[in-house]
Amino acid sequence: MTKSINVNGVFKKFRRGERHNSLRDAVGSWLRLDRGHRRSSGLDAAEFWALQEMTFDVQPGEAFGIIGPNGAGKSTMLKLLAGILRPNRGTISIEGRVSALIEVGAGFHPDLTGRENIYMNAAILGMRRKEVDHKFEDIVEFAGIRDFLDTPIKRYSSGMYARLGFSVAAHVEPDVLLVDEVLSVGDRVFRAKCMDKMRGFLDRGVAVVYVSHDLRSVASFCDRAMVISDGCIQYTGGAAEAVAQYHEACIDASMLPSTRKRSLVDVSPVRFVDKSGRDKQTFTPGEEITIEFDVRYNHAMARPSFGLSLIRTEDRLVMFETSSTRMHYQTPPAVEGTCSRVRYRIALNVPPGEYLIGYHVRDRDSALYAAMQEDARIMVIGESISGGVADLAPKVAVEDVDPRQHEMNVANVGRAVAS
Amino acid sequence: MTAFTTHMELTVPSAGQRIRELVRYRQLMWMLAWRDIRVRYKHSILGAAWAVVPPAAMMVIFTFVFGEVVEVERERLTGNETIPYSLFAFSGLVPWMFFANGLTSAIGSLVSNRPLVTKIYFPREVFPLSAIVSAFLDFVIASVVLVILSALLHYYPNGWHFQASWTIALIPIVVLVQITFMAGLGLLLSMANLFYRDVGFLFRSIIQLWMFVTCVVYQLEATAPWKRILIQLNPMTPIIRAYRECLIYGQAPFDGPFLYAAVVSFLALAIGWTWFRRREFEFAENI
Repeated sequence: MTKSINVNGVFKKFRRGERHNSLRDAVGSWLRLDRGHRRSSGLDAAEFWALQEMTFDVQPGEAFGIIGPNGAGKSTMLKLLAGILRPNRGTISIEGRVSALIEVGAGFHPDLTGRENIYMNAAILGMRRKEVDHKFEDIVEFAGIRDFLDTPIKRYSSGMYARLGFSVAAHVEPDVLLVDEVLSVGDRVFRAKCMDKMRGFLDRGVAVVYVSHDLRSVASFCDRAMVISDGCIQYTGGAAEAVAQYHEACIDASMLPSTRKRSLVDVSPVRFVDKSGRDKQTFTPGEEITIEFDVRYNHAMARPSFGLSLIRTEDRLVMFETSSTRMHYQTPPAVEGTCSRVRYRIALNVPPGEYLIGYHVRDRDSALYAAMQEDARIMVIGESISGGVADLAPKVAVEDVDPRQHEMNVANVGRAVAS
Repeated sequence: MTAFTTHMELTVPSAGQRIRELVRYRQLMWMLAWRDIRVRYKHSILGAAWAVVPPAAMMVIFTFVFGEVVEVERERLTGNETIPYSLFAFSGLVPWMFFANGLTSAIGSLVSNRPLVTKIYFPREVFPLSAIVSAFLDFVIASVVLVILSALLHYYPNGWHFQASWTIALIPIVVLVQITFMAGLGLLLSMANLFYRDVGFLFRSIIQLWMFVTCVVYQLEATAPWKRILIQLNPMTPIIRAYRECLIYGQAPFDGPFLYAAVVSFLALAIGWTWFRRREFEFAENI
């Protein structure tokens, strides 16, 4: 099978700060002839490798995810694929027309109308005028801005702006589509529409490279994914495994010994244990999980209280919180220098996604807060019977009824559908 | 849709490859020029009529200052009548303003389109070239006024007779030479300005001086002999003069100095464009 994208041993170096801030510096450096002091690695003092030894393929019709922490080099990789940057070493070959959604509406001009910007942006993305004429209706329909076509886009909301940008780019009919974190704008409905559109591309044999911090969407959309950090490939493989790998790596990084000053208590890293007693960070919806941490008291406490919360990373929504006091659990007084192990057992009745575990320790009597931390993360991956936030333990039944009995409710049903 | 393969290494695209790519993106060049014009005149009542105002205002200024001082009538006129100074000045100012404005916006074009340069790939030549195209559209509008003005002055009280000469048909050749020169300088200087912003500042001062080293508002013969060498080395001098010869004097402009200007223009384009292609891949990370 032919490859759409072949990246082979690509290195890219960047420079800290500016090359020369002005002509004066430049002339100065020419006069001193200090260009070309290279170290053996091929870097001079102000340079660093933004990417090293990047090697991967993407097949037609395949969705390839790139994940990693901020500054890992994800966007640089996409810019190399888009031809905006050139590699210092290695080769990149791409078969077919490339469309890059690196920033939606990069070519938009605020003073031009929606209609004018559609033509403008389409030309920037390499579409011919006739092609745009042909697809104009689809673009407008998809963006849902028909009533505002002749309004200057400086009056658009940011959501409308993003929708229009994505819509134009999505109609380019590329052979290779590069998507960088652009779906984080726009509402849920539009995001779902975009995902559908991208799945449509895959069906038509388009190779999609998808960069996102939304691990859930990477896991569900991509076939394969690559984890990079500090410009190096950490893992390449199936999307779900890559997401799990990345997740575990993040947790390792956040468990560095705390540098905080001696506080009221010291809290150990949080452990997550499944039913069979194994340490894990990735769970399935509904799974029972034990959250465990040790507390060492640096001060005496008359009535220590231990709190727990589960926070959705994406929007920082508190999914759940409780504390030993709320649960009327009697804790013994804490003596300075002693330790306690706190163990919470919960059922993870939450939709798939990434969650932060927050916990706190406080003294009920003196109202001293010891710690409120959210540095432990877990990942919930898999099918869930419910969406939204709360699992209300649904039961469903559908049965035939007499149509005459039904008449009086028609008005209500109509309103419900319309809203 | 045409399928094509991109293969990226540290190689510079050949001129042929690049021309094919530019042809593919030609519509973008027009679109960007059109956008410039559209945005420039969008909130004005007179709209594109503003294209005529700057050269006309300059004409008024120079007529006011030099009107009686500079003798322009003694040179190569058919018949004994004199050419009004205002027409003489306007015919030089219209192409000069095209040169000055076109280059000024071409030089800033890469930097002012930073979001596009760093986010989307297409041949970067499109930016300076479209800046020149958008200045060209202003030039066309001002030229129409220039031609009408020339025709109206047919009834000038002193009785100078404007004769629509066949040489007007040669003006496109002069325009082509000027655009070639502008494209060469525009590519070179827009790139230089991307690396060193000093270039833009420097140019804004130099362009003022340059106008007086070009025979825009006076004849070469009206200047001191020691200045003439500098003025004649400047390729814009024969270009501006060629416009006048075609339009007003009814003479074909193809003399030695014009040929010199054409050769310099071509060299400027060849050098500017080659250099541009060599450095282009560094633009996104240095802008």
